[in-house]
Amino acid sequence: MINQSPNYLRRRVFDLFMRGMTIVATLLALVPLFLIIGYVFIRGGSGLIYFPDEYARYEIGVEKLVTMLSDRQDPQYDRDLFTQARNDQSSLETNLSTTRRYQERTKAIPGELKDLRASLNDVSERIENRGATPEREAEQAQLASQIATLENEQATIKAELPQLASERTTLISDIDELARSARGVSLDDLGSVGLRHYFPFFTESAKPAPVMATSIQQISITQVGGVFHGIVGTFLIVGASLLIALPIGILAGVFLSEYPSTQLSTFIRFSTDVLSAAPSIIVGVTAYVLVVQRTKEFSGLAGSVALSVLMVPVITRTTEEMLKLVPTTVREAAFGLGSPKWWLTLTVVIPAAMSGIVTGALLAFARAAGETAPLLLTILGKNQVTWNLLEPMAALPLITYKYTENPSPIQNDLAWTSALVLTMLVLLVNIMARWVTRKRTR
Amino acid sequence: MADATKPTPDVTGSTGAARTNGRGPAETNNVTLEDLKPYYGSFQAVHAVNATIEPRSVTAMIGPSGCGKSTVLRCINRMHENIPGARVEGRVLLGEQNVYGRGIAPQTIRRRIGMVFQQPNPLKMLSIAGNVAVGLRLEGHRESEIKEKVEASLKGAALWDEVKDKLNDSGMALSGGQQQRLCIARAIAMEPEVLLLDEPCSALDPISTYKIEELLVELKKRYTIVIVTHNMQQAARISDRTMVFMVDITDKKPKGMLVEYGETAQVFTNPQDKRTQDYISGEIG
Repeated sequence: MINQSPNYLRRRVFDLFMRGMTIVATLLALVPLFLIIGYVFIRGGSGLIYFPDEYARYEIGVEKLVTMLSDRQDPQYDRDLFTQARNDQSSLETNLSTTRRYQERTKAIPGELKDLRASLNDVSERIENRGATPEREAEQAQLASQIATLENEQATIKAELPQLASERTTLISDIDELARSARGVSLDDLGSVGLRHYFPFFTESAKPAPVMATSIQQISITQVGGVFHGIVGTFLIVGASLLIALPIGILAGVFLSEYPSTQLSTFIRFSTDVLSAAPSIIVGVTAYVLVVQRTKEFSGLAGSVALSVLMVPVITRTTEEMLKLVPTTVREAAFGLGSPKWWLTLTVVIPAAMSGIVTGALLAFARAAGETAPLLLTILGKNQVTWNLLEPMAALPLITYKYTENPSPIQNDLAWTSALVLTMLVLLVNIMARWVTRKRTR
Repeated sequence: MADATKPTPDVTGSTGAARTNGRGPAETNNVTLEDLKPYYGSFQAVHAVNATIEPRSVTAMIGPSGCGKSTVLRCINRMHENIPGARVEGRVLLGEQNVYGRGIAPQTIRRRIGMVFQQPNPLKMLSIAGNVAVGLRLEGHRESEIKEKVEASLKGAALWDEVKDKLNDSGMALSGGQQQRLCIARAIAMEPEVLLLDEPCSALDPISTYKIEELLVELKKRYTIVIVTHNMQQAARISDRTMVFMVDITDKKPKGMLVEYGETAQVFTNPQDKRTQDYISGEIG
C-alpha cells in the first residue's frame, strides 16, 4: 500500500472546490444567454406567422378593387363606382369584424356559463345548508341575472349570425358584380391568399394597429403590419457600412501585420484598441455632428458611417491576427522566388488568411447589425420601405426600441418578433463564422 | 551513385541543354564569397568567410548546429536581410557582379539564385502547376511558354510522371518528398544559375532523400548547387566540394566560422584541420 501524502486530502478538497467554483461561474455566465434566447423565442414567436381565415381573400379582393378604381389617371375612372366600392368595403369590414367578435364569443360563452352556474350552485347549497342571509341572496340574484344576460347574448348571437352571413353573401356578390362590370374581373380573381400573407412580419411594412386588438390573429388581413422596411434598412445600412469598413480595416490590418514594429503601427494599434472600446452612442453623436448636421438630413448613409466606425477596429485586429498566423515558410517560399513584397502580400499572405478575414467581417457584421444607439441619432426611422440610402430609414434594432415603447400590444409583439429575428441573424452569422474557421483548420 | 541513376531524358539529354532563354547553363558563373560577415543586429554571427564556389558542381556545407552554415547560405541570395535587424558586410560575387552592389534589387538576385527550404513549402492555394508557374507569371511570361516550362521543370525535378494527371490538384495533396521535389521544380522553373538548398532532406524519409540526392546529381550538370546538410554521409555521397563550419567558443557569444574548404574526398579522408577530423570521426558535434 502506497502511503498517501499527509496533505493529500487538503489538496484534493481545494481541487474540487476550485473546479466547482469555475463550473458554477461558467453556468452563471450562460444563464443570460439562455434567458435571452428562451424569452425572445416565446414572446417573439407568436408574431412570426399569421393565419388568414376563410374571408381573408374577400378582404384582399375588395382592397385591390378599391385601389384599382381609385386611380384618377385611369380613363375609365368613375367617381360613383369608386364611392360604391368604398362603401361596400367598409360594410364588409364591419360585417366581418362583428362576425369575428361573435365567433369568439360563441366559443367563450359556454365556458363562462359553466363557471357562473357552478358558482350559483355553490351559493344555493350554502343557503340550503346554513340558512339564507341577505348577502347570500343578493349574490344568488346577481349570478342568476348574469347567467340570464349571457344566455340572452348567446341567443342573440345565434339569431344574428345567419343574418350576418346572408348579409355578407349579398355584399360579396354585389362587390363581385361591381368588379365584373367595372373592370371585367371577378372578386375571386382579385383576392387570393398567398404564402406571403402567412408571413406579414417579413413582407409588410408598418401599419397602424387597431386599438382594441391584443394579438395579430384578431386583425384583418389587410391591416396586419410587419417590419419588412426594417429588414431592408438593416441589410442596406450594414451592407453599406461593410463596403466602407472592409477596405479600410483590411488594409490597416495588413499594415499592422506586415510592418509590425514601426512607431506608426504601434500608435495605430493603440488607437484601434481605444476605438473598439468606444461607447457606441458617442460614435453616433459624432456621426450626427459630422454627417447629419452638415447634410441637414437624417439618412441611412449617416448610419452606415457610424456603424463602419464600429466595424473597422474589429476587422483590423482580426485581419492582423490572421495574417500573423500565416507561417514564415510560406512567406519565404514567395521571397525565394524573388517576389516583391506587395505581390507576396496580395497573392500569398492574404489568400492564406482569407477565411480568417471573412470571419472578422462576419463578426463585424453581427456586431453592427445589433447596434441601436448610433442609428437612433443618424437614421431616424421610417414607416415605409425605402431603398434610398440618402433618406431616413428604418432598421430592426430601432424598430425593436420604438415598438417596445409603443402602448399597443400588437406593436409590442412586433418588437419582440424583430428582437427574435435580430437574435437569429446574429446567431446565424456567428455560426457561419465558426463554419468558415473550421474549414480553415481542416 | 550517379551511375545508378536512371537518367530522366529531359535533364540529361540534348533537350535540357537546348532549352535556353538567354541565361541558364551557358552563363553559369563562379560564386565568390569575399570577407562575408553576416550580422544579427550588432552581433556578428559568423567570422569572415572567403570561398569560391565552382560552377556546375555540388558544394556541401556541413557542421554542428549554430555554426552559421544556413546563415551563410542565406546571405548568398540575400534572404538573410529579410530577418528584422539582419545585415551583411563584405561581398558576394556572382561572376563579376556583386550581389550586394549598389542599385541591385534583392528580387533580381533571388530570381538568379533559387532556394529550396528545409520544410517543403508549396503555396497551398495554388495547384501543382500553379506552384511551378508562379515565378514565371511574376516575370510576365506568356501562358503558352509557361505551360512548356512547367512541364520541363517538373520533368527536371523527376516529378512529371507522378503528377502529370493531377496538375490542377493542390500541392498539399502530395507526399513530403514529392512536395520537396515540387519546390525544386519551382526553383528551377526560373532557370537560376545557382540553386541553394537548406537541409532539403531533413524532413524526409530515406527513400525520398535518395530520390532527391539522385536528382541533385543530375541537376549539377546544369546548375551550381550549394546544399546545407546535417548528414555527413549525404555530403560525402553527392558533393564535389565541402565546406566545414565550426562554432568558435573563444568569444563570450559563440560564433560560426569556416574551418576547412576543399575537395570532398580530401576533406573526408585527409582533413587538414584537427576540428574537422574530430567532427567527421564523430568525436565532437
